[in-house]
Amino acid sequence: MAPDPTIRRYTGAVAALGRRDPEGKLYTFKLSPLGPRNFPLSRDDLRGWRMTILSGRHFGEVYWVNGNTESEVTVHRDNGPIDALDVRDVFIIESIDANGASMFAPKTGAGSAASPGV
Amino acid sequence: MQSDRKTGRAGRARAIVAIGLAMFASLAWPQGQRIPADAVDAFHQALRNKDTAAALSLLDRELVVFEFGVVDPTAEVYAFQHLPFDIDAAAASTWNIENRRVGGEGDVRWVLTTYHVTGRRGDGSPVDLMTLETMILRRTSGLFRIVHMHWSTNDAQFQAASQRGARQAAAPPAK
Repeated sequence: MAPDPTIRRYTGAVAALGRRDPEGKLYTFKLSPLGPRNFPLSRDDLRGWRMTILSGRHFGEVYWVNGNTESEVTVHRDNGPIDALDVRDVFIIESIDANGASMFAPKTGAGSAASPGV
Repeated sequence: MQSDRKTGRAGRARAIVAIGLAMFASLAWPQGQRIPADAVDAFHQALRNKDTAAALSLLDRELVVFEFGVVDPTAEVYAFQHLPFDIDAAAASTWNIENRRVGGEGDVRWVLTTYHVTGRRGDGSPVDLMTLETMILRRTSGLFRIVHMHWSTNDAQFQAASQRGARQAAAPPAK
């Protein structure tokens, strides 16, 4: 089937856990690219993208990227911490916004977002 | 006046909460279903919606997938290697149920479905094939999740292309 050209993906594994915040909560981790779906990262390339964790104790949980560097990702606090994240957990980050819309879909009109899956 | 302002503020706050709840409800994902066929249909719907988490929530953690001649031995491997492809395929195609049979008893059930699948390949050529699907579902905590799925097709060319694609995919995570 034709891949959806409007969805970009980044797959990787957790290389190291980041520094916890003053309350002991974890929102940041270092990543290493894994698999065919990734690319060299620049700062905040993935900002606003959806991250789904594909293994470990956070399996199937969704977070939103608050920001990234070349080697580190920080998730948004709104979805809670990633305290149970472990080194080597794998994840996929997709260019899908918080409303479920593809972030690179062509605009169909002022104020409208593409419906996912349509 | 002061009271009106407070009432207005409270009304706005209630409206914001209501909108927030409505948005949350629309984004809430299925986590298994009470009826086996509903779990299968919800899985396909999650693929069409590009909703990775919803799709994962319908999978048993002991999932094994046989997909067009390729094995994904764990839910993690399937999620990493083939779920993105299936999401793209679902978005680019239409799956119409031709036939469905359900069976099993107790906490283990099966759903056998044939689909007429139409769409476009990456090169723009049309897809028009029959996909055969076997789903085995297991009930835990009152909800059915998919513990095995097996897809095959009557289109030998598509089956071969799927296998080539799978071989080119990344190695599964070491964990």
